[in-house]
Amino acid sequence: MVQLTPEERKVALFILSLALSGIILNHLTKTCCWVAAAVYPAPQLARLNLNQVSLAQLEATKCVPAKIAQEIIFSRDLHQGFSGWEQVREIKGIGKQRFDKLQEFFLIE
Amino acid sequence: MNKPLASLVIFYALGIAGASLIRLEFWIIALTAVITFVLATLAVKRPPFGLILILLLALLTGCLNQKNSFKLSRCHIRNLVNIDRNAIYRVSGFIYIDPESKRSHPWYILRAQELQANQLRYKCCGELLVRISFPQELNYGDNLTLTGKLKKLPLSMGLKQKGRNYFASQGVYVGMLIQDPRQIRFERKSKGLKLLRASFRLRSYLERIIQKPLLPLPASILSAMILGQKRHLPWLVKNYMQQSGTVHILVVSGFNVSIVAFLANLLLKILRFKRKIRVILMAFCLVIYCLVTGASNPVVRATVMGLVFLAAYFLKREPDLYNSLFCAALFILIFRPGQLFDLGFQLSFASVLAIAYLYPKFKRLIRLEQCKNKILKFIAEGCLVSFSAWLGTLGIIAWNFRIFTPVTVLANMLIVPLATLITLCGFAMLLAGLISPGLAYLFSLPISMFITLLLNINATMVKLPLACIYF
Repeated sequence: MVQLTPEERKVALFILSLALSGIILNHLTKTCCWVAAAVYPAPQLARLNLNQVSLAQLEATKCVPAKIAQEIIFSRDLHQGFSGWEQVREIKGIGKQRFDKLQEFFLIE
Repeated sequence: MNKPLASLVIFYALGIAGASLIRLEFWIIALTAVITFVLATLAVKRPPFGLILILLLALLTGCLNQKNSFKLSRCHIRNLVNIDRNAIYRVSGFIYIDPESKRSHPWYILRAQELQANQLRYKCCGELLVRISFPQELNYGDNLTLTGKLKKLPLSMGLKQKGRNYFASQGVYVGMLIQDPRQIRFERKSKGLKLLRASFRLRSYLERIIQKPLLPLPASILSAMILGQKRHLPWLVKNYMQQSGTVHILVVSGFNVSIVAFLANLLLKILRFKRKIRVILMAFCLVIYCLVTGASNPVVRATVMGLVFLAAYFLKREPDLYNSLFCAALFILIFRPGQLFDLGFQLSFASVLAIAYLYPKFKRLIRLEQCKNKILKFIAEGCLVSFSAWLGTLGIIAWNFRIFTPVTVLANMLIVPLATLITLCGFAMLLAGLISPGLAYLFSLPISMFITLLLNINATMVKLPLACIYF
């Protein structure tokens, strides 16, 4: 006969509930799109959209100097919004390091 | 104040803070301290004078310790660095703190042992900050010889210092920038403590367990919450959390330490260990967890507090929250008095002190004990804890970040229970991952969902009107 203390019972219950919810969620992510959206965080939660970001926000990230931030905004307005990262790469003053930094902080949508 | 350790530590900390304001020489203060000691010994049986003199002695000790930390030994690497900025040095030593990384560019602290300049070799001591401008895999204990220019970092820190000087508070006063892989030469033997090396290896292994089943974003958040590793944490997440005043959930703190203690206790109980052996093993687990998470100030505080509680349990004495908290402060400040100016230290102690002092008072004020609805009582308790911590850290955050976050209490009410659940699930996932990767994947799905929910709540909170005010 297995005997568990109240503490042990609580832990067992917690682990079992976690495993159970994992199985249910796994099943639901395969069948419903909105469940998958609730389980996996959207990239917008971790990165800003470069097509919507303001000059102040761009400067606040400190990944490019103020002058280049202005260039980016100017170029964005010129293109009526970036369609891809290649357009950002073409901006004067953005080398490999700055480009990597920008890709880490922003997304293009 | 009827807490003896508390009053002594407060005066000791005041002494450290005052050291930067007092221009007196070390020996004059030392002489004053000796005289105070003699007088205190003579007046020890006269309560008011004896007590005042003892507190004064604590203040002078703090002041002396801080002044002494500024005085570097003759062989310290900073004293051997020339004024000539273009001089090239060769420094040998080993990596003293596990390398940190910022955007794949590592930086680490090297414990210098030998310095070569102009074909002359000197035995030296002290720590050196090394920044590398290219990706490089490095580990604690790696024995290296570096060639490059050395730069003196600011020596002073304290109330007079404008801005924060993190490395001075860590006792690092010299830096080197490595731009070429040829500037680094690896020596054969690795150095450092074996226990630390094993702890860092364990951390890397645990990080891999977290990263395998989760997407990069939830994995980075879980790594920060459980292992204190914020290397991969996106800037936006950190920024949003700062704005909502919930960034503390990304720091390993007392809650994590208590979970580790609880899990260790439970496991040892199941294995039918005797009480005393259980306490010793639990203490060992706490120390290992402290090392695994990088021994930051909040973890050291929580670990020392936990050890004091365990010692009280071991010796069958009544543990006291204030005494254990101030014991932790003393433990940190004795070794590195400059930590008093570290923001992590200030926030960690201010929040715990505020919770310990204000929470019972608020609870009594609104007569929470009389509330019979358990759910309502639980929610109210959570709110009061958040409110107390917010009040305690309000001044420090406003002073350092120039930000006032009225949304903090509301955000914490929603986010803290969720973060608690994520931390619990994270520990369960880690344990499951040690047994089977498949089981870890199963546990990872609810964690991912909770993290998504947490990020969404946080983003909503920040967007509320007057959520945070910059000034």
